[in-house]
Amino acid sequence: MGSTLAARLARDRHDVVIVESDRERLQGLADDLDVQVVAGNGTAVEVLRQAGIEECDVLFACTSSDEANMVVALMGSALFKVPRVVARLRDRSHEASFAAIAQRLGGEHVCINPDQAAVEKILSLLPVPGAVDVVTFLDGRLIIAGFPIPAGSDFEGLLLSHLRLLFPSPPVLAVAIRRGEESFVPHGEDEFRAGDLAYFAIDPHELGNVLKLLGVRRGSEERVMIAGASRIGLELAQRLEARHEDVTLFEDDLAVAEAAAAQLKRTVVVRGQATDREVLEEEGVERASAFVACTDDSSLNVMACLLARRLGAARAFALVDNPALTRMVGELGIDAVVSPRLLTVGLAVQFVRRGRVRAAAALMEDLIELVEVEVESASRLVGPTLKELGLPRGTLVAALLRGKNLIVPAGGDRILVGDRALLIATTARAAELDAFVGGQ
Amino acid sequence: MGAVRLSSLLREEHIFLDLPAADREGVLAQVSGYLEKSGVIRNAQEVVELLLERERLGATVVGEQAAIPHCKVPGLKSVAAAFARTAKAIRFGNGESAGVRLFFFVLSPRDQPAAHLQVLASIARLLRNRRALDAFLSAETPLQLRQALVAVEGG
Repeated sequence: MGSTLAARLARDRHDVVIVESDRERLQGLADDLDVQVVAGNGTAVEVLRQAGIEECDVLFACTSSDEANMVVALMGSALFKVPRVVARLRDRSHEASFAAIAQRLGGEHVCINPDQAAVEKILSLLPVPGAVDVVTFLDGRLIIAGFPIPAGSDFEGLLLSHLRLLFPSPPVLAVAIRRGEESFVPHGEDEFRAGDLAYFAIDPHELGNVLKLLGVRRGSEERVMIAGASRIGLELAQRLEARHEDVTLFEDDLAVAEAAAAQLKRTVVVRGQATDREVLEEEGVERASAFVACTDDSSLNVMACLLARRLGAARAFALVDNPALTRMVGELGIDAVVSPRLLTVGLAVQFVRRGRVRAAAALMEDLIELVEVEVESASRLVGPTLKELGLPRGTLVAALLRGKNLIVPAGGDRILVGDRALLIATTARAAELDAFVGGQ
Repeated sequence: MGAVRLSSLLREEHIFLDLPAADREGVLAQVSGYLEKSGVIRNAQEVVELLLERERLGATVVGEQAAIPHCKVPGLKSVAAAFARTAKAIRFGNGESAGVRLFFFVLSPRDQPAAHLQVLASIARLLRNRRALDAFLSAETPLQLRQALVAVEGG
């Protein structure tokens, strides 16, 4: 995750130093990214000092080892007084220990748990049929959800500006479109085409109508199948059974399956490979409202999802942490790919920007960025009408929350101090939009 | 495209050509009056109020010369459509559009929100078709207009 995060931060014009002990990897990083690299082990005081930790504003400890991350993060905090520290921790008990120690130290500390982030993402996807991604903003008042536009659906051939006619209040608008290889923040004269992947900002009250226009049918019952009693699989099953949903969990390893069964109450734990057709059929995969593959093997997850979809599961989500595979999967017919690594990077970036940023998310493998900000008086957003502001092309003020009112602003509207604003930009334009948000 | 065709909803007797209306309220009142007379709705005045209420949320002007006044009407059993072409262009929006001549009325029962939206979507799409617009502007009789509509939607 470190290199993805570094690339992202460097693009946002931060000065980044990477500490890495693997020399080969280090050379690759130095060649590919606009960052400084320091060879050595991050748990060594001298190495950290050499990397300039005394001047650093934010320290990320994101090796693959929880223990190493705890040591580095706590050292940064205790010895070098780094004001803000982020530790990537996967084990819940590590999180608790880290929090207990960090509490006694100065500065800000945050744990980011990739598994937890993945579970939350899957839980947000499940209630929105047909969606490939779901993010919530503005205190739950606005859902951002991505849907493929089916041929022959009511959206095909509609202009984006027509959405105002259909949904004057509460609003629905399109905030990002992927068409073939291209991803863009659309404007009113763009049209929806069959095969587009369109991200909508939707007032939850209108979700049913949007699904109807998309031709998405809501299943009558929720039956979730999970492949892999990994940390994520197990936690997901626990969260779902707590909500009284019907859950089946597949696990190939006998000991792991037994341990899972002991921890779960209502979930049916089945021993078997998720890529075994007979096993899936026997458990009634054709009636599954969702099939979630979260073993530790990304390729296996993709295969299991393809099989489940072919056997009739309504939706299939695969955990994939391999960028090359992620890009392919969309074309294979899997409904959504969940990448713990990208989710973690998103959370880390959000932490760096925090202050005025309340929430942030990235869509379409990081090509489109959504940021929710609280508008301060020094912001350049305040004052002129949106039209006069002249925001760069590829950016959009999608919605404002003013007190209790959700507003989708038009060109003649103004942004006021205290508004919460949801801003959208292609990642290439994000820095320009940031300049508007701040006072620079 | 889409699930609903306007031609399946729009009856010939609900096509009103070259209406002598002079302003927004005039068009809405005249068409609502005709629909009350033919028994589609019970209270024209109430429908005019509902249509105006919807316009206040944002004008329903689509493109250069058309508008889709619409609302949900309590007590209505199924979606009803009407078409009016005014003799003169009318200022319908809040200044953006100079003159509207083509009016597509959509009245829906309150409990069929999705069907209502599907009709609006299909009209909005239809209005992107230059050939359809020309046919609506030039048709000499309601029958001619309906035939043109069927041809466009069927093609």
